[in-house]
Amino acid sequence: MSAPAPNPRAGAVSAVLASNRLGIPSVVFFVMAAAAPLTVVAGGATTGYAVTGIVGIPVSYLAVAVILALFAVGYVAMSRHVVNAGAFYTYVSHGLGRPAGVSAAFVALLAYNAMQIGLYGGFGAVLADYLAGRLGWAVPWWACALLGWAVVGTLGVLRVDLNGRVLAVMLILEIAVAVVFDLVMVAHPAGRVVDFATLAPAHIFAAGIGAALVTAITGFVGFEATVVFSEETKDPKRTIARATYIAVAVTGLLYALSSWAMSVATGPDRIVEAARADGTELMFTLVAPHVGPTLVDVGHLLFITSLFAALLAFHNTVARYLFALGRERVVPAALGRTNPRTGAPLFGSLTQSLLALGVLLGYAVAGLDPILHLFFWVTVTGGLGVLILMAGTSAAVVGFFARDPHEEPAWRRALAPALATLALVTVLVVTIREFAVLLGVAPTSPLRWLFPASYGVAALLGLGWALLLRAARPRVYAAIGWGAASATVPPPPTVPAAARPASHARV
Amino acid sequence: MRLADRFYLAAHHDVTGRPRLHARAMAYGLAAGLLAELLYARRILIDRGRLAVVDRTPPPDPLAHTVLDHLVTEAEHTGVRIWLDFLSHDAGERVGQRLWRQGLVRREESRRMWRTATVYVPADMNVAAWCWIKLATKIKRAEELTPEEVALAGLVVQTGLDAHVLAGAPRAARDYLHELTDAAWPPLRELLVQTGVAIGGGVLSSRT
Repeated sequence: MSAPAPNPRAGAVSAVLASNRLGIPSVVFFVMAAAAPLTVVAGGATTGYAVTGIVGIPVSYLAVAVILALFAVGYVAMSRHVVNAGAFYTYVSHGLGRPAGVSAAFVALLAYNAMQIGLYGGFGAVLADYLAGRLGWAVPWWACALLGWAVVGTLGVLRVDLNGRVLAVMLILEIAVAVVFDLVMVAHPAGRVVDFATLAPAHIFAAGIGAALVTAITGFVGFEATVVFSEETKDPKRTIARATYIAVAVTGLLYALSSWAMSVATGPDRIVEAARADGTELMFTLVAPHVGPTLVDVGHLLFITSLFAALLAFHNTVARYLFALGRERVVPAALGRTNPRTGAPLFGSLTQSLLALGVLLGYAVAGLDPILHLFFWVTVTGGLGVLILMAGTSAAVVGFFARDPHEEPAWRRALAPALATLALVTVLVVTIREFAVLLGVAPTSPLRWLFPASYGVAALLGLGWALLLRAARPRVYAAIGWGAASATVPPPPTVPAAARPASHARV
Repeated sequence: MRLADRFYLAAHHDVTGRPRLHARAMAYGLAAGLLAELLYARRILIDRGRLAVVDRTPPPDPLAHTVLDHLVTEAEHTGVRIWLDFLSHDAGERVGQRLWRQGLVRREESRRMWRTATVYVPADMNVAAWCWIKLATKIKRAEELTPEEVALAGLVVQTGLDAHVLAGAPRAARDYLHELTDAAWPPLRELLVQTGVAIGGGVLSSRT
């Protein structure tokens, strides 16, 4: 963080406050570490090719980056006008009403848990592969996953966030390695022709593209966290907006470049086949003949650390969602308590860890595949949940500004969010229609409905819970969406019992 | 002993002087303590999230005087939250020095992770422990608190220090504590709520 030049006219208060605030780089590094570029490039893109069999993955990343940038316009604008700006359900409660907000909160809890727990599959399998390949140790994937789980759980309770500088260095290394690998792959194209076929926009309208689009969205999850810092930045009006666009642009270009480079190295017609054969090793296999083993090793290690950084980031996301909801007393108030010594959302963190442990043990006992059934299926289901949330949030932005424009220009408050809603809902519909392709199962498989339906159940539970709160605990209901600031919400006006019409009498 | 001093001693280990709270809770708790001192000295008033100086007479305590000076000099800032943010920046150091000047703590240099930091170690562990044990005892016995003790109790709740102060206490004691702070003098309650929001916001943006 660089210190700004002191404004000679500003007083001591402004100077002190500015010195403690975040600049654009801090925010970008924080959210991009959660998005974990190497995890997406080496893990998400390759598995995406393999499972969906769609070659349009690179252009999907670009298309999604454009949609998300459009979404960010209204999202960032609204973040300046709401408290507890870090959580999607806040936007939904302020824009579409509290019942919808609680529905969104439940969907978010499911989605971020799915993102996090799914990543354990990737982490476990990749670490186990690495140990077997390098050291000849035969460790089952679930043992590696449990190791990661223990470390994440401990760091979560102690609230040891990875140090900002460590994250920044790791992130820059990850990006550097990915770019070097990309250049190597493009320099050694299959059949000596650099083919741009996988970037053709025509793929966007091809059958099965929904699967590719939601795979791409999954890769961006985490970028929405920029607004968490809206109260902590030097210039709330510009820092958050710029950081968000930078994060979307850099990740989008990197993902598209890398997934395209892989298709160049294998040839577009062979990419799916190669991805099915090599899985998450594909990128390393493709560059290994052209670079030294050291660089491949560094790439492997960074892949593992990036998976770990993502695990920790999503663990903290879930813990903080539970904390905010606990402070509102929408969920038990104990979840809103922190470890006094560290400020870790204690019970939120433990709850997430317990859930993850249950799922991991279940997968280990059932003998399911960590990459396909856990990493890919569960994280893209998480991506689907975040897609639902983004569509809902985008609609909420329109609703929020329709009631009060807050002096925002029409582009930010109406036009961009409306277009983004339309785009996101379209992607959502296409995705759900093609969920069988995404999972790689037969169109008749009940699984294709089971995964999306879980969000319907979560949303209905949230709706029911909100209506219950409205009837039984109006004070809690009034503060929905306010997170840590819920105590500042004035209690709802109480109607004297005698003045209340009989039909509204409390039962 | 002044309010912020008592909170400082309660929030640090009686013998080692190590903090019992994370940095953000400590900083905002102490900042709120300093504002509460001015509130009780009737120098400022808090209403609907705004803070106003109502009496410019310098308080006898030099630190309270300094804080009031800041409030008067930059009266264009009226948000309670802004002042909490500002004071939290060095409240720990300022209150530590005030305790040191009173001879209640010793200064010790501590070397951890290549950095030298000043730790204020209580001069008398009994005096330090009394700050929170007296409060805990009164709450457990459901006795009436003085207005300043209510403020201290409020800071304890908002910073999460109640986990330490009321460790092992029955549920009734916790309920009584929350009852007390819920029914506090409205300007104080507003200050406490804003303190809790600032600390909770830090949890959400992982800046604790």
